[in-house]
Amino acid sequence: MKAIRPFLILIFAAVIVICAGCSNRVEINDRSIVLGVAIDKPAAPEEEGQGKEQQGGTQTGNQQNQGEDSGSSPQKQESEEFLRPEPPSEGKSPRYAMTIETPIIKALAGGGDGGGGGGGGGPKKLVVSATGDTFWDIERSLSIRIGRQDFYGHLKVLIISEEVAREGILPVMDFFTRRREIQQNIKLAIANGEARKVLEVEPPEEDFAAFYLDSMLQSLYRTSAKINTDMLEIRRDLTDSGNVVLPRVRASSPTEIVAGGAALIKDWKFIGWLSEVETSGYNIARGNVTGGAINIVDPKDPEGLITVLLRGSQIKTSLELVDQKPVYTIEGISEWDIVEKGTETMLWDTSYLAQVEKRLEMEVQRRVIHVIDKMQREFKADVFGFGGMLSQKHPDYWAKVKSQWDDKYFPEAEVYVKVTADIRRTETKT
Amino acid sequence: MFKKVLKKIFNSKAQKEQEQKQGELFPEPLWRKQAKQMPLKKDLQSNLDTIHQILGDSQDIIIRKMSVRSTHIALVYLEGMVDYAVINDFILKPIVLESRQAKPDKDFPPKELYSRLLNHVTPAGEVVEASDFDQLVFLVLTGIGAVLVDGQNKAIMVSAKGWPKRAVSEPDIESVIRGPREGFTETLRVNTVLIRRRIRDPNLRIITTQIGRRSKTDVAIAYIKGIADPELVDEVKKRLETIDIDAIMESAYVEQLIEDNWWSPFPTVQETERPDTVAASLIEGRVAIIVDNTPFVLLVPANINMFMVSPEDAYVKWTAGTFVRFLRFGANFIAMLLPGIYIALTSFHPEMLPTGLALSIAATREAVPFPAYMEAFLMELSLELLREAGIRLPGPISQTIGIVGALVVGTAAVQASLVSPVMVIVVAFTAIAAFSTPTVSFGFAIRQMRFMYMILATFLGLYGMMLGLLVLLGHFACLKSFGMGYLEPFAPLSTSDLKDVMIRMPLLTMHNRPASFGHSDDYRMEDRRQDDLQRGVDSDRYESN
Amino acid sequence: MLKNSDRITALQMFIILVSTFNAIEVIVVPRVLALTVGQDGWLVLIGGHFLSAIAVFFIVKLGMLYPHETFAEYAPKILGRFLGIPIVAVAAIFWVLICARILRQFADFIQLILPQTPIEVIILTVLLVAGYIARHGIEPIARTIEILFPVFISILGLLVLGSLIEVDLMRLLPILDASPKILALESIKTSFGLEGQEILLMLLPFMAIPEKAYSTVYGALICNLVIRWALFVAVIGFFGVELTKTLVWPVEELSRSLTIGGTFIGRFDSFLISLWVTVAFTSILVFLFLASLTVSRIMKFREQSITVLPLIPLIFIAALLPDSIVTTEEWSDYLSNVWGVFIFTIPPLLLLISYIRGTHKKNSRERLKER
Repeated sequence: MKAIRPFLILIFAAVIVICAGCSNRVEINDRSIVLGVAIDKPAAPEEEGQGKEQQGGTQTGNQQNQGEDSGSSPQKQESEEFLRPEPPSEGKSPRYAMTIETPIIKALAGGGDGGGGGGGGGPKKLVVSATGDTFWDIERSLSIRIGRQDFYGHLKVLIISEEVAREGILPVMDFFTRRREIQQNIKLAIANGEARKVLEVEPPEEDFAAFYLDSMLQSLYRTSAKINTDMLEIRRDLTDSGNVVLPRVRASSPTEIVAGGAALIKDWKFIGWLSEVETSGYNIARGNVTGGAINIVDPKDPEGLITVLLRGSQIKTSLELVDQKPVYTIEGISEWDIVEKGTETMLWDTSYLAQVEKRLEMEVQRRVIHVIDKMQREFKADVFGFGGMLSQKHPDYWAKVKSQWDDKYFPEAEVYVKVTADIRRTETKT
Repeated sequence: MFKKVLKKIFNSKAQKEQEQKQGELFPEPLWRKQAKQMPLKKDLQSNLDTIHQILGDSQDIIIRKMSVRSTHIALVYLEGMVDYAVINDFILKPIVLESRQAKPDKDFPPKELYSRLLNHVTPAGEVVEASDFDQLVFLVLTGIGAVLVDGQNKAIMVSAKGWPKRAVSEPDIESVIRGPREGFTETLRVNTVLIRRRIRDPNLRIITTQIGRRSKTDVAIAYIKGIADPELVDEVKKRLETIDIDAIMESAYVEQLIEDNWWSPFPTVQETERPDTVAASLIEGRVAIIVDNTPFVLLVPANINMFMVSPEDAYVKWTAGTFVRFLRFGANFIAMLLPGIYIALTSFHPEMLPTGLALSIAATREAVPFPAYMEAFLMELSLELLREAGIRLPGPISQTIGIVGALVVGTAAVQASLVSPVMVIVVAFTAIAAFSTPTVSFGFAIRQMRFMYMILATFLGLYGMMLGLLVLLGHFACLKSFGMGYLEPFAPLSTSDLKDVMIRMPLLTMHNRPASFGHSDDYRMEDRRQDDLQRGVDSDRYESN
Repeated sequence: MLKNSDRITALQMFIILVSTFNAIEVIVVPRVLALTVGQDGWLVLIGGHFLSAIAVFFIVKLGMLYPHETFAEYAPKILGRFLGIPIVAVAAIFWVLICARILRQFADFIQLILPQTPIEVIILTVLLVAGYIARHGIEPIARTIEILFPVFISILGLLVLGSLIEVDLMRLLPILDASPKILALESIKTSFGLEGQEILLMLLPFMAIPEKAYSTVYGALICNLVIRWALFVAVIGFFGVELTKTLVWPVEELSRSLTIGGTFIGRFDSFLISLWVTVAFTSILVFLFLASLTVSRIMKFREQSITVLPLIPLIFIAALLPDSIVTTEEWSDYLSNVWGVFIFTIPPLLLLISYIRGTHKKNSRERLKER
């Protein structure tokens, strides 16, 4: 009997493990790996009075689905009525349209197997849309139409259209932050126009628009007119103050995406754009800048332009309470190199360089001040983290002004900008 | 009657005395106690008849009758097992010379003849007297020649062992690049000699017994008195005595009958073919069990570290030794876990893969009709099959098949979309990693564990693998090998012992023996290098004289 | 050497203590503290551990009066059988419940990566593995935990070091924002919630050198304090107080967000969750063993291993009782508070009564007579 005991235990354990079932096991090629998501407002339905039938699964007219037949989704009328606590948005269109971009594995497989030959026949990616009131609804309706289980573990970009963002991005954010499988480093962007168009772009160099957009939003080396931020930072900023600055994207042609400038979110809602120059000012103000060039008019030649490129910067914000009013000082140093000069003047002259530097400094400060001004006057939104600093250093004062910080106290705060610019070197030509 | 009682009393006292002297030796083997005591008679012919009765009609038992003057003697030996030089030159020849060179009128009564033969004539070492048939027959069957004298009830046993032996050669599976190339053979005496050559300490004790009712195999244990824990030696002896089996074919039988946990797939007794391993282990305080008819010597106690080190680690420089040990440790984990990890990652947690890799794996798996776990099982099973088949193939063919099997069949399978290329790589890597375990028995255990992990990964993903690792760890924590925990020296932590475990500290730092063996003598090495010995410094001092 | 000696070294005791303190609770602590006291959580941690140090002092002192005897044996001696045995039984029940609670929290946590696996399976598999090891006595348990400890420390190290880059210590300001009353209350709650401080009631006689118990326990408390501090500072510094309040599993979110030099190791979290199995497992193992040891000593069984198997179904059922993840936390708070009262009052009481009645002297006299 003693000898049989280990075997009994083994069998028992095996039974339990098998009872777990393979319910979690999904083959990797049975998953539809979603790479990019775009949220839009659905276009107005062409047929009206669909009322109760417009739950989940309805399609809007202008779909552009590649490689799939546009059958209409089954209308589950009666059963679904009982499921919803309140009657569906009668006569109104559903709140959101979500588009996902996912690769067609077969196309990828065709390319990899048995020797090269670029671009096997057929499209590489699938762009599917569905509408609904909440995102799980939309997912349900997507699952009616896509054979594979959608998997968000490799999601790279989330694009929200301007329209949706105006109404508030809180519901959108909840869906994408509650799921564990979605990583924290996905990129968010606000689309100027229709978000779906951005996902439909077929870039020549990459297979998928999501990868294209992802790498574009990451490279900040050459320009400071972009925002590089990911889900984690956005969540932090949003829960702290409700304000955040997001990158702006736009599909300029079927093969190209433009990502420059920024979108301003105040209190979880979109309120305006920042131009590219303003974005660079914002970056400098927050100390996030790592690249970017500025043009200076040559002191000796009014027609000529000198271009300087930022090499490094250390910018810090400090706070003082003076007479019960907060005074912020943004100070720091920045180092620039001269990279292009369109005139014949020789650089090898300290006083000349000093002049160029001075102009540069003025330009830098101008940009920063312009952005801060715009935030304080026009938008009345504190995106610089000034409120956070106040809460850490002077909690009592913060407790008083917290409720009206954005609208009343922030615009009245004084901000001094003392950013110096030093020109260091200039490659090989004088 | 009264005499018998007295004899019993006196004999028992003598017996006790003898037992006390025999403290170090084995008590009588089981088969001997169980055998009937049949003493020799004085009549030669009746003795020979009894021998004939016992041994039957086997025609390799040679009985050579001769006479020296008027006394008859007989020589009994086993053909093929004796060295004819010894039989002829050292037994027969002296007897013949004796009888011929003596004066014509001198006669040799049995008693005198016997004592002359025993003491003066036979110029051979190893001469023993036998007084009962069991002992005589047993010794004859081991290759000793028996000389029976008519009129004496004792026989002279002259060692003439000379059976066919294998030459000492390098062991196949435990070869090293740097180090001796001697390996044990199937003869007990040769093996003990190889050990003695390496440890010329009089404290090295080698004591022998016979185990197995019918095989009566010689089994010897070796230990260094003063270093090995006496309790350990006693325990080994006790366990060997309790073996009651018909035949011991190989040391594995002994291993399985004395080990602590027969039901565990993991070995708790180490086996090796190399004398230097054994000698080093004896110095550390372990006990070696040498079994006749097999080159595999057992070493006890054994913890998990013993199965993962190779003697070569000590013969190369310490950095190389450390690196190789880490590699081996990692390789064991890979061999056990890699297929399971592949199944778990692709089926349960694809978010853990980099996106590009995930896409390309998905692409390559698209054409394969099987799910990942079935693919993995099929590949692993076919690899095991290949391995098993490869053992039986003769040399040159096995190499060819290896290459053919791997390359051609593998590539063809991938192109036929039966298997995805990633799976092939995983399986190949696993196989290579599995080869790195120095000890065969441990390697077997790892290979079996691999399948368990694959099953767990299929049902419960990474969580299942973690559970499996916990089960393994718990199992190791409960395993003991002759009193030594399997997980020593990791737990309980003994930092001084760790010097020789995953890393290999320079020889100069290993002053003491591993404490986990509970031995009596600590000192092992002392650094007596003197500062004024010029080792590669200021060499011109020598030149300037 | 040849038998299971049932003795553990001081280092093993230290490791057992630290591993038992940390189960699943430690993943959630930053959020709990953020909700109640905000960024002053680290002060609360110090207060809590300090109070625990006091409680533990009484426990060890009590245990030293009765060498080679566990709580299950000397409590009846001090209080008499009618009072003593029920109290010990209560302790056993609590240990069963604590084990069940850890299991339930653990199963909820694992469901993050295995959403469709029924929690019964998760709980039962872990419980069986724990049962297998617990049957062999304290020594294999100590060895298992000793090996798992470096795993735990390296996960922690990775988390903390990886988060250091992005941690902004300014987020921990302002200090002393919460009122002292709340701080004190939370400290008491934290101290009550440190399950594992009472294991010395049963495990002291197993130590090879019992005199080292004081330094071992204090060392373990300090180590645990450092661990929870490090995690708290890392989480709050990384996310900020407001965001932490919204995270169900803060430490797991931290592992999702690790950055090194701007590039992500974002895929770390599945790995972390899997590795956390070992951390939770050590606590489950210890409490299962404690419960079975206590029951076996009450019933005066010779072998402790008999009681393991019957306890498993009990723990299993208890683990499945709560409805939802919120109920689990409510019930576990309640459990910690009641158990905390038990730990803080019973040992000093027993100590007092023991001095008054002189039972420990009687004990040693009996032992001398035996010799």
